[in-house]
Amino acid sequence: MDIITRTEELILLTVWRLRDNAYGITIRKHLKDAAGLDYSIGGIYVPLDRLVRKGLLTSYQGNPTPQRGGMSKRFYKLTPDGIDALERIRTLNTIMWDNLPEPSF
Amino acid sequence: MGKLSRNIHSPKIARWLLERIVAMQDYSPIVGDFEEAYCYMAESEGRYRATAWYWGQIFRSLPGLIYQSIFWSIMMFKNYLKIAVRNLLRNKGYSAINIFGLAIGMACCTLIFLYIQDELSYDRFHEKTAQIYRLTPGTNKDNQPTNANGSFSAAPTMAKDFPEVLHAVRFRKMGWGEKRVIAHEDQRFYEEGFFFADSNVFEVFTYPMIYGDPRTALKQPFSLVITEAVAAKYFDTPNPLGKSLKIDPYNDGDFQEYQITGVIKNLPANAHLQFDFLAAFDSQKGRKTGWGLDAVYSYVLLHPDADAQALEARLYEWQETYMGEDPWFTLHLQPLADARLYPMPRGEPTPGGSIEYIYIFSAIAVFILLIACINFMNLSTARSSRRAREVGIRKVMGAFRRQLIKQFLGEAILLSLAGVLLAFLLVELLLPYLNDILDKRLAIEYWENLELVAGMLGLGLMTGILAGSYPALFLSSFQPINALRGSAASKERGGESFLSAAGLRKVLVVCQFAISVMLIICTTVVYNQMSLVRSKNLGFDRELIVVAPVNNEIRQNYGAFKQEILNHPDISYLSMTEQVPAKAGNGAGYRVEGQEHGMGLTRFFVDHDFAETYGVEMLAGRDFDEAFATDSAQAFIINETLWQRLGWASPEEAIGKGISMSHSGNTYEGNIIGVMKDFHLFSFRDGLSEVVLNIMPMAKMNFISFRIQPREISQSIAHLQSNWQHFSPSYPFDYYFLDEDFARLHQADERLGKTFRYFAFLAIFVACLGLLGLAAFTAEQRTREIGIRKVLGASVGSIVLLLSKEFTRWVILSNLIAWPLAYLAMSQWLKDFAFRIELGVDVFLISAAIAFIVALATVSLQTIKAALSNPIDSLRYE
Repeated sequence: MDIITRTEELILLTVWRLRDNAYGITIRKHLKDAAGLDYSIGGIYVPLDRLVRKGLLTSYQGNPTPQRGGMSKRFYKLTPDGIDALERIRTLNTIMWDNLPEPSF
Repeated sequence: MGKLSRNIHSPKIARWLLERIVAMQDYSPIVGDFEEAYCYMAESEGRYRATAWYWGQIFRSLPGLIYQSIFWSIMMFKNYLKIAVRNLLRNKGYSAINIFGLAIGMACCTLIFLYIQDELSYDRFHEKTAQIYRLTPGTNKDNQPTNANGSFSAAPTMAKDFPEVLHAVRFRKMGWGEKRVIAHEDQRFYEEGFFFADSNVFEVFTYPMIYGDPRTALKQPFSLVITEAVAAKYFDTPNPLGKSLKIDPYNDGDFQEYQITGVIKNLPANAHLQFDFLAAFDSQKGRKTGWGLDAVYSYVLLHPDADAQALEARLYEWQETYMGEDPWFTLHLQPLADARLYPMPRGEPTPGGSIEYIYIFSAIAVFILLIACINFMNLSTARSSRRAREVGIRKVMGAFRRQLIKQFLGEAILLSLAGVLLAFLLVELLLPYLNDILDKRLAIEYWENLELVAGMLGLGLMTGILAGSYPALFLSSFQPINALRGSAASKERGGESFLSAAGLRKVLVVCQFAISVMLIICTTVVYNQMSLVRSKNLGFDRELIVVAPVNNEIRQNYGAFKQEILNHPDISYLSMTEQVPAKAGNGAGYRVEGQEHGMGLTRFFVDHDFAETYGVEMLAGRDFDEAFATDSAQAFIINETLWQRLGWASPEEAIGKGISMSHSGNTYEGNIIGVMKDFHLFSFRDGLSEVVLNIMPMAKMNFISFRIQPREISQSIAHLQSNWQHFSPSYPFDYYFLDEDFARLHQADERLGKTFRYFAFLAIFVACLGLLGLAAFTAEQRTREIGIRKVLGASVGSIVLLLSKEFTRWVILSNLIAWPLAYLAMSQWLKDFAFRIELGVDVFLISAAIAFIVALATVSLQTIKAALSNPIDSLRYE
């Protein structure tokens, strides 16, 4: 399987962290606060949809709330494949960082 | 997220925009996200900032959203396309019938459109077409124009007397279709398109001149304007100004030198007057004035504000000042643009078209298109009932009704557009054949004929929408639960509403067949009428007569020439005449003893041997006889029709009556010595004209006719040829058989009759395609019924009968509709022929039988297959 990109990694981690509250607004807010990535409200759905199509995320419909003008939320959840992909990239990072010599200039 | 109040809402326009942008997919989570973020911001930072932010967000989101909606609509389109293609392939037969039928219909329609467009374009290339009128004399009793040719003096005198007539142009054609010899250095050609024309011709007509000055080109006598093609034929240089050609315009051996003063572009094919050479009018030998009817075509250019009808009304009175009281012909003004489609019965320079054929062909085009479209709709609606289950599934999966309508409409439009494309292909394929039959040069210029292309596409689109709207609206209204409860249920539910659709289909099929039957009847009648024309007794033996133009060398040695010719055993008679049948057209003014008014009658100058050569019989009195010296100047023979018009009880009563003829300014007086049986001079549309025959000096004669025996014709021709060369070395022997010329007279009718047959055949073919499709569909729908019937012991015959019964009823009904309509149409068409077939019951019965047999054969093809199939297969069906 391909190695996922940094952005995808960040989005997957955000979804993981937000657990049952991972939908457009919260994902976007967390990405901005934690990583400084500024997605537009609609724009965030482009990578999210891509990840769904790759099978790393699934989405499900939530209940509508009044402050959303009666519109429902679309929640995202990691799939086992998504967790695998994150684990793999963490292992890769560990391997790549492990036993690095002192930087010399 | 703090305390959010319910009454804070985002700006309406922005939200509406947002919903539009994401309309293609499930938009609620995204719109919801926006609402929530807006609410939150309005709480913390105030509404104005929130609104500004909202708008900003929408614009920032646009690219991503647009990408998304395009992506999904492409996905859906791919799915629709896939389903459409699968459906097409699953029902290969139906699809082929559907598309091919529509394509044939549209192709026919386009071909006919091209033909009509060409016919209507005649003579419209002149800049002043709307102001140009043709002078058409009328010589018959009811004051209708009859001749395309007129007199020398009428047009120029009009220009002088009426201020609204700005110009008058005359074209004088030499002879009656016989060719003229034109020589350049040692080359000699026989040319047909030689005219004398007035010098202002280029001010009235638009004939673009390449070399020379249009204002002065024909001013000087013996100046000549030629077309590009002629210039290329005779000269090496493209610019032959100042060179000369030797021409013998009178066939009298006197070659005159004409200097070339202008070269014009070749004439377009859609001009009713076709010429290659125009010589200055003043170069003519002999008489250049007169009020008789000569081979002079006159055109006048009226002032833009002039009232042509008012002018025409004043002409008769005006004629009296020049022609004396009670002129023997009336003068009429015909708009130039009408010259092609409303040709005169006599003297047309080129065979004319016919407005009736424009109507007839338009009707056929509409009929064929109607049949094809009906087919398309019938088959589409019939087939669509089989897709109820797909609709159910789609609805369950969340398809909106709007999407289903779009899908079905799109599919129908796709099919019909495929038909249009195929139609264009067919047009390209068939156009050469049509051109061959019609002797035209039609071409489809896509860029210049944009309205045609747009019309075809529009028509395809409309057919698609009409054909698709029924399934689109009806099927999309299914309750998914009913549609999915199995085909039986859906059929049952559909049963009653389908009744109306099936009823509509029946009506349409009956219409279709009625049209087909009408076309069969019309084709048969046209064919019969044309056979009558071909075999009609002309009053003389046209097969045995050879005609050649006469020239001065022959005239001078006529006695010796005649002697030599008659030495051959197979050549029994020869005779010189001024005109010959099928090329006649000249008239003269006559006064007959006992008649109050002068009469315009057809003149026919002959010599002593005319009756023998042509084999015409006498009804009363005697033929011209060399024994009577007075016969060569004072004897007249009238024909049967004229005798009848003159109102004498018996032909014998006419004998001895006094008669006078005014011709070329002279008056010839004499007595009637005989009444001749009728013989045809003109096309059968005109019937027999009133003819007066008399003997005139040889100088008036233009043609010589030989009567040969039907034995070894080539030897007789060789004998004529060798003698001709001996007596007339400067002129080639340019002969033709008289029957060929008569055939040419009816060529337009023949050609159109043929075209009509092909189109009628195609119409019937397309109608049968539709019937085949419907029969197959009905048989398929009743597969299980047929199986059960067979298991219960029904015979193949009874099943075929069962399935054919309905179609039979349709065919009978459509016959009942078609008969009166066809009868009306055909009696209208036949009315124009002076000699016509009777419209008997047989034609109708035969046509009905043909339609019935074709329909039955088509339907049987399917029903027999259905009836023969193994009941096990049919019961296992579905």
